[in-house]
Amino acid sequence: MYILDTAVAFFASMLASMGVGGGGLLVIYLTLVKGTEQLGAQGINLFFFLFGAFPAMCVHLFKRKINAGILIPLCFFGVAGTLFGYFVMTLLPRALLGKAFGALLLVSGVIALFKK
Amino acid sequence: MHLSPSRTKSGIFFLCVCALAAGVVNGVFGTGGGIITVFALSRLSRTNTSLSKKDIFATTLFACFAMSLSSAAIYALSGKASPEDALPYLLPAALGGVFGALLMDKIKPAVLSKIFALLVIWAGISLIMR
Repeated sequence: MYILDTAVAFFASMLASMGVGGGGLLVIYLTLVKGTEQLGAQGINLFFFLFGAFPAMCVHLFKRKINAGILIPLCFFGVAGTLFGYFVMTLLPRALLGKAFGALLLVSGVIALFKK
Repeated sequence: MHLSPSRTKSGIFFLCVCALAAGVVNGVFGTGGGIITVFALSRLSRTNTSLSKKDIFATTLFACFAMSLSSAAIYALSGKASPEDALPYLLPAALGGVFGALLMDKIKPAVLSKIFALLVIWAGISLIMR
């Protein structure tokens, strides 16, 4: 199982740093394959994403155009949103959290599938 | 790093609203903010031609890092997540992150994106039905 954990983490992080959208892949693996509770999987995924994103950001910083005029409001309002999002999450019943995440995946999957 | 701001006030307002929504999704689900951020930046790139698709993905990664850092701190401080649980996944995450960033110029992620979309749809249905 450790080899599978490693492989899933590697490919999920690789896809996320390529912009394919692997950010939620580890949550899917943890909940559907390993039977981890939804909230626990979300917490693991957050730390996992930070460790995968940081080295990828170092590479992108030298190879891409990062527009600070766009990035600063994105980060400021994004971080403000996370505070409200956490509050909303604490109000949601645990069973509903998993189903709501499933709905988010379904919508984002359909969008990605039919996007040109 | 370029310092030019986005073009119009309505563009900035749109960006801020989308960033707020992305943050809320990230706070609730611990992921998913990138979908909204990519959508917002793709719309903005129609008026700001200096943003290529790869620049959009890179900018999204930076923004998602800030949101995830904030969410991870809140989750950890409230006892809803522990960094120790994530330990087995951190080294492959770091290696995968570097590998993906370097590979971005070498391959076209379009096909990968469609395969990933199908996987996500299956997972979404599975989670709803569970």
